[in-house]
Amino acid sequence: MDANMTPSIFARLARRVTSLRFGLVVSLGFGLLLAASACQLKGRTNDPGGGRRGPAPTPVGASQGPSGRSWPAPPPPTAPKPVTFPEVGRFRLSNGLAVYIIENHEVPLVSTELVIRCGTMDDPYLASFTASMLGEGTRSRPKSKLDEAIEFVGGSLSAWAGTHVSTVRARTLKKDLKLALQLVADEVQNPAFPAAALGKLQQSAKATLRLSRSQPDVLADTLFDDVIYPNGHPYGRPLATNAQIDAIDIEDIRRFHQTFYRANNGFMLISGDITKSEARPLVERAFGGWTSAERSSLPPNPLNPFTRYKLPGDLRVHLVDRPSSSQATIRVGNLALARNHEDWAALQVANEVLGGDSNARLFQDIREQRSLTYGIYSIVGKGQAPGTFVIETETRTPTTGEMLAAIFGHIDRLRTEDPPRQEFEAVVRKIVGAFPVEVETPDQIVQRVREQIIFGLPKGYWKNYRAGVTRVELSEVRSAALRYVHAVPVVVVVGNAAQIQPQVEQVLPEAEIIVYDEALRPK
Amino acid sequence: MPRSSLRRRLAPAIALLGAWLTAMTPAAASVVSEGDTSGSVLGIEMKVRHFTLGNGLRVYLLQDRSTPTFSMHIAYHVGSRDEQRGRTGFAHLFEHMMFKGSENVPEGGHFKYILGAGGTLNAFTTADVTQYHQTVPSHYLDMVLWLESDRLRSLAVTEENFENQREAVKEEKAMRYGNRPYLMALQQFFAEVWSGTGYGHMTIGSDEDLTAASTADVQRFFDTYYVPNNAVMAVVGDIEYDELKREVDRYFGDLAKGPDRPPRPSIDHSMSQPLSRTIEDPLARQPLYVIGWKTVPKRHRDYQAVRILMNVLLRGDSSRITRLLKDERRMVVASISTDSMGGGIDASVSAGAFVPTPGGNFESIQEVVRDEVAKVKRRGISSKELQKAKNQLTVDAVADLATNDGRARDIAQGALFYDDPVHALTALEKYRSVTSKDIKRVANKYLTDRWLTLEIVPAR
Repeated sequence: MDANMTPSIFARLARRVTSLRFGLVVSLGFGLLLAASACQLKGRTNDPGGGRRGPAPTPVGASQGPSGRSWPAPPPPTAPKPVTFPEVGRFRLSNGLAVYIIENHEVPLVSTELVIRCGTMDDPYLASFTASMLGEGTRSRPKSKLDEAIEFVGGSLSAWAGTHVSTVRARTLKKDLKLALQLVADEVQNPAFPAAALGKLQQSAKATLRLSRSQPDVLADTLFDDVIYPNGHPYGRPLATNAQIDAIDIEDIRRFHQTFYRANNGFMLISGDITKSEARPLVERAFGGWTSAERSSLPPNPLNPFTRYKLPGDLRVHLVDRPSSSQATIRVGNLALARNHEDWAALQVANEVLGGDSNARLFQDIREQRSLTYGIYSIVGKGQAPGTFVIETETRTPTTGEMLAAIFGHIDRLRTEDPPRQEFEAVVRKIVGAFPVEVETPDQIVQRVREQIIFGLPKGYWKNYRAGVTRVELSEVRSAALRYVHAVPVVVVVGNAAQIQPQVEQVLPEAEIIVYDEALRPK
Repeated sequence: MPRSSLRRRLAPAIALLGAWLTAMTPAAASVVSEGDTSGSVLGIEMKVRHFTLGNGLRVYLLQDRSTPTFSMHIAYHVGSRDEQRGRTGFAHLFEHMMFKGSENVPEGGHFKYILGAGGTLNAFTTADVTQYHQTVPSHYLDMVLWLESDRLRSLAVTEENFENQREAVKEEKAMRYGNRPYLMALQQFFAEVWSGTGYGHMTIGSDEDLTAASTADVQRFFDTYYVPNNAVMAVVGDIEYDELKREVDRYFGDLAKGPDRPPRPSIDHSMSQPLSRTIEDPLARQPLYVIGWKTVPKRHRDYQAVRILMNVLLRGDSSRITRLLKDERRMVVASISTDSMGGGIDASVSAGAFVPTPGGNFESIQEVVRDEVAKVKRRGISSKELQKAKNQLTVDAVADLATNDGRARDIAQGALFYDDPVHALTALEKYRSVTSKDIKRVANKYLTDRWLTLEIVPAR
C-alpha cells in the first residue's frame, strides 16, 4: 500500500533488463502529474523579459547531419486513420459526487480513481499524511482486514496526495468492482486514523526525506521552484524538516479529512470493462450516503491570493555547493503560464522545437554534436496557476560553463529567429501523430480526463486537441518564446561550487552568483 | 557494412528455391507456412494469426482495431547467457549498436523517424533475449518494417560506432548500477549462485570485458544471432493480416537464412549445502536481506505451484510471512516476494527480500521464515489462500494483456520460449489447475534447508 523505494529497485532488477535509455525521466517540478483543485485560475504573468537582453550567447546554427552523406527518405506513411477520443459517460449522485465512465472492454479489469480536491498546496504535510493514513484502517476494518480483502481478489488499493488533489485508487477484475468500491468508500468515509500507525508513517516519511536531501535533482528542483515563486506560494515550498514531520498530530489529520473529504469536493473516474448502467447502482450503494459540505465551509483555493508574479530583473545564478558531485545538475527557466491558458498550444510547439524529445534542438546539438551530456530536455509544467518552463540537464563539472553558454545560445535563437518551416511542420506532425499513441489504454485516457477536470480545460478539449495544435502558426512559435522563454531566466546549478563558480563568472559575467549549502541555506 | 559473405549468399538461394516451390502468390513469395492459434480464459480472447518466411522469420499478428496504432516487438533469441568467456556485457552492447545506422538509415535514424511519427521505441536485453519494440500510428507500418529490416540486413559495424557505444554503455552502467544501493551486491550474489552457467555473470557485463570487446566480435555476433531464423516478430494493433504478410515479405523476404543457433544447456538446480554471504555496500543506508531457494525453471511442470506457494508466503501485507514480520512484529519495514532475481527462463530462485526495521537482525527473520515454511510443509495451505494466490496471478496476467505493447511482448516471448504465442493464457490455465496438495508437495520438495541467504550491509 505504501509507495516505498525498495520495490521499484527490485522490479528493476527482477526484470534483469538492461535497456537503451533515451528518455531522461524528468521530474516535473511540483508533482504535476498527480496534481490537481477547487477553483479555476486564469494564468496571468507580467510581460516577461521585456526588451531586456540576456547575456551574450554562443552562436548556434541550424543542426547539420554528422556527415555530408544524404540518406533516402523512409517509406511514406499510408493515409492516416481517424482518431476518436472515446465518449466519456457521466452521472452525478444526489450528494454531488460526479462520476465519469471510460469504457474499454479488451480485458476484464476495472480501475477506480476517487479524486478529492485537496493537495499539498492546501497543506504540504497534512494532505500526504491524511492520504497515507486512509489505508491504516477504518472503523469496521483494521488494516489487516483491508489488506486481506483487496489482496484476496488480487487487486490493489492505494492513496496519495499530489499538489492539487488527493487520489484513492483501486484496481480489480470486473467481477470484484463492488468490493473495490466498498473499500474505497469505507476508507474515505470511515477512516479510523489509529494513532499508533501515525508513528510508523512519520518514521518512513523521515527516511524518505533523508533520501530526497541526498539527491541533486531534488535539491535543484526544490530551489528552482522556491526562487521562482513568491514566498508562501504552494508551488515553491522548501523541503520539509524532521521537526515539521514530528509535529503532525492525529487531530490535525482528522480535521483535514473532515474539511476536504466530502462527496461534493471530488469526482470519480471508473475505467475499463464497465458500462455506465453497470457502474451506477454500485456507486450509488457505496457512496450514496457520503456527506457533502456546505460550499461556504470549503476553504478557498490557496492559489487565489497570488494574482501577480514578479520576474527577476537581473540575471542570478543559484549555485548549490555539493562538493561530492562529479556532475553539475542544471535547471534554467522561468515562470510561464497556467495549463488552461490560450497560449498553451503555441508554447507546446515552441517547447517541442527546443527540447521536447531527442529530435529537438537541445538534444541534437548539445548531446549529439557536442557530447556535453547524456540527456537534455525542456518541459512546461502544468498548473492551475502559472507553471514553469524549464530546461533540465546534467553535465560533467568541467563543462558546466560550456553547457550554460550553449543553453543561452538556444534560448536566444528561439526568441530571435522563426524556426525553418520544415522543422516547424515536423514538430506539429509529431505532436498530432503522437496523440493516438497517447490515448490507447484506459489508464492514458483517464489521465487526460483528469487533466481536463483539474486544470479546467474547456468541454471537448481532447476531441479538438489535434485541431488546436494544427492551428498554431509558424510565427506564433517565436512570439510564444518571447513571452514564455525568458532572456533573463533563473539558473540553478547543483555541484562542486569551487570548480563551477569560475566557469559561471566567465560565461555569464553579468550574473550575480548566490551560493547555498546542501541544506539550501545561502552561504 | 552490408552482409555479403559467400555463405550468406548461398543460404538464401536455397531458401528462395523452397519458397518458389511452395508459394506461388507474388504478393508473399517467400511465405512457407501459415496458421492461427487462439486462447480464451476468463473471457479474454487472443486470436493470433501467424506465418513463417522461407528464411525462418516467424511473424505473429493479433488484430485490435480500437485505436489506429500498433505495437511491434522483434525478439532475437540471444542474451547475456550466450556470451563467451571474457566478453560479458556483449549482448547488451550489441543492442546499442543496432541504433547506430545501417545502409539506408543514418545513425539515430530509428529515433528520428519513429519519434517524428509520434511513436515511441526502446529495446532491452536480458539473459535470454534481446528485444526491440515500438508503438506507432498504424499508417507507418511500412516505415517500421523498413527500419527493422535495414538494420538486420546491413548494420553499420564500424570502429567509430563501436567505440562510441562502448563508452555509452559504461556510462549507462555507472548511472544505473554505480549510483543505486543494493544492485551491485545483488548482481554479484546471483552471479555466484549460478556460477558455471550462462547466468553466472551480470547482463551489463564487467568493465574489463567491455573494454576487451572488438569490432570483429560485433560482426561475428551479428552473423551468428541476428539472422531471420533466430527472430520472432509480434504485431498487435490496427493492422490487416494480408497487408502485414505482403509488407513483411517485401522487406524481409530476401534476407538470407543464417545458421541455426546451438541449443542452450539445461541448468542444474540442485544444492548440496546452503549458500550464505554477507556483502558490504557503500551506497546502502540500511541493510537488505534475501532468503531464497533454487526451485524450478519456468518451463518445469511445478513452476506454477512454486509461484503460488511463494505468493502465499510473501506477497502483500496479508501474506503469511509479511504479515508477521511487518505489521505484527514490526521486524521489517518492507518484505517483497520475487521469483525473478538473477537467472532467467531456465534458472529460477524463489526468494523474499527484507528491509529490517532499525536494529533488527537477520537471524530472527530467518527463524520466522523457517517456522512458516515448516508449517506449510506439515499442514499445507487453506483453500482460501490458494484461491487468493490464483486471483493475484490472474490479475497480473490480465494486466499484462491490457496494452498492445504488453500483448506484443507476451506473444513474442511466448513464441520464442514456449513455441506458444498465447502462452500468457496457457500459463493462466495452469495456475488455475494447481491444488492445495501440489503446494504441500512442492514446499517439501524445493524449500529445503539448503537455502540461499544474503545479507547486504552498509559499508562502514
